[in-house]
Amino acid sequence: MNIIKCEELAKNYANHNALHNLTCAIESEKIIGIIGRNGAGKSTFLNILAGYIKPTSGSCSVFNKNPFNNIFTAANTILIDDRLSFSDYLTLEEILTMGADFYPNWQGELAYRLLDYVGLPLTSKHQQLSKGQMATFNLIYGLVSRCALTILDEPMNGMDEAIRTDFYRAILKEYIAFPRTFLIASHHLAEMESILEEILLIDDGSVLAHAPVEDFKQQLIVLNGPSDVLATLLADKVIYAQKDMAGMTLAVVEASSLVISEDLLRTNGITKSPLTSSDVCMYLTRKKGRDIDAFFD
Amino acid sequence: MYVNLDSATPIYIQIAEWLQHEIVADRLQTDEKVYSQYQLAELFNINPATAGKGLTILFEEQLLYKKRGLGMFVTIDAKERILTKRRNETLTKMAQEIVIEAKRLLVSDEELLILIRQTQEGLK
Amino acid sequence: MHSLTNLSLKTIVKKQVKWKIKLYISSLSSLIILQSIFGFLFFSSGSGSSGYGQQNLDLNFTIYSLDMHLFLSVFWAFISAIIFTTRAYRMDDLSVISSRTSSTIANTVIIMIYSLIAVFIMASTFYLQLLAISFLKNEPFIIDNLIFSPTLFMMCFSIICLFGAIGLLFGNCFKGPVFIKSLTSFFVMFAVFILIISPDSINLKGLIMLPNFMMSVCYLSVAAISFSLAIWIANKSEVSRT
Repeated sequence: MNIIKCEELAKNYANHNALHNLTCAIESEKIIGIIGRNGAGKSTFLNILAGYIKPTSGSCSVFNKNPFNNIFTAANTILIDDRLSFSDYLTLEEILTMGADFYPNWQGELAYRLLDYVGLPLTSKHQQLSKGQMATFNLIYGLVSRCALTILDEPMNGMDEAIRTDFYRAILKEYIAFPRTFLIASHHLAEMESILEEILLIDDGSVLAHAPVEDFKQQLIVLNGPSDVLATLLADKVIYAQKDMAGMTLAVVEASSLVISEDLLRTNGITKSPLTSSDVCMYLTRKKGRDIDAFFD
Repeated sequence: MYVNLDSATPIYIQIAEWLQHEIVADRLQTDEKVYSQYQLAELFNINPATAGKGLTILFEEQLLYKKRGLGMFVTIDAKERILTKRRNETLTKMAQEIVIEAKRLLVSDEELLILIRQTQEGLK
Repeated sequence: MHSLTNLSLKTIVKKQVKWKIKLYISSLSSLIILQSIFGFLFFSSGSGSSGYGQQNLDLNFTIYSLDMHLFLSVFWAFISAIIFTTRAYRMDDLSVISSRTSSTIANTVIIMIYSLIAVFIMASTFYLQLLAISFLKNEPFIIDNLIFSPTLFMMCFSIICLFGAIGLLFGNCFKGPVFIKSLTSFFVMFAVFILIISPDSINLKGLIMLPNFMMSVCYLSVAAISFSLAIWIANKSEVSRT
């Protein structure tokens, strides 16, 4: 069942277009990584899903409803980002009491245990927490609210590595205990990849790729072989990156464009190797003809 | 327990391989219930869908069978099948690679055979 | 799939009011402080004084009335309502189940409740001031509105509420869609223009000082319109985080 459906979503601001023609469908109860470069439109997309902003054109439905300013979708959605704020008058404990009052699936006990685990005193004030502590608290708040759609926008910003590892596991365990849809936007794809089911890559305001993690990874491959052989083989193919060294060539190409048997590759002295998802993202989103080296020559 | 994320082998294949390894090592025996996709997910810190894919591989190779509502169980000849398969596929592939590498290094066929005999002697 | 949570707008508003009424309490304490300071400042002079001299007879008296306190409360209501629509307060709403609509309805309820409390605060500071004067001063003075009649009470409430509503509307306008923003700026410019052309055409003080039941109804109706407009605008507004 699709919980999110977006058709040709566009969001224009006075000086730039944050989204254009974003179309996607997201099934329920999956953990999905929302990946993209800075300014690709991830946050705009997530804010539309949370009902915070209204698309300029196109349609968006969450739980089969238009999320904009909708109390039904709001009750089933939580958006956690670094701008989440609470009144200065509340201690962490009071914030948790407030959360419990609003969210019907609230897990108070779990919240207390997690806060205890990370060593955040219940009496502290939200504003006084360090950046990492605040991110940790916000993430705990988002996890224990158990909303059917939990959107985490850069949830681990500022958290140290040990806590990050712990909380990826916490997300996974909470997901197993109470399956729901998680959308996690992050620049740290490598460290969260294992808990993801799908990757949604946003670039330049639209969806560039949306696939299960493994398929996503396998869409690009690296070929390494003698330059002359590769040159003829890849004559009419799109090459995402290329490096020539001493008669050998390394080339990143689309796996589907390569219709050639493994044996033939091997006899030609060409080796095929996979890329990491982060690399795939990097090559897919790299602007054509732009190379940082060029600026230093 | 952690899977090797940097490995060229996809995670679900690593899971399938690990399960096969457990069966070969008799830690999972005939008609014994195997881990559910959620248990595997927790165990390896991976997405349950990925773990499910690993289980599906074994199910499709008839190493596991399903009992409705109870989960997956090890089939009676699972261990045999795995061993046969490894013999047929893995060993054949390794042999292929050895032969190709030997060719590259200009090692003659006789020399290669002698090398294999010597290795066998050495391990006895 | 787990069943989805279905909470009505009413339930959410109730919960929001419940928490906001605690969290916004500082605005009430600021009113108490404001009223006390002004009560003290006007302790000796009152809100007006009259002197009357004829030959040997010299009469001087001071008038103490509720006007000053009411002015203060109205001003406070306007500012507080605007503060409720500022970024910090709006951001806090986002951390619980809410929509712009539910938050604005909750703010409306809060402004009404606080207006009611404000009347009580106003009345008590006023009486405390009178009490102090009658004990400590030996001058003749005139007290306007000594008895707090239901009509007077209603009048005070309605006018405080009205200015709260205008404040809320004003605050919401600047977070609303562009066309509402332009409409508001046009309206404000138009009003300023009118005031410059003929300053006498609007007699605000006279309007405020009319203490009768009809005026209260009139104020409340305008307040209701302002509240509705504010909610309507909120329903069309995006979350602006700037």
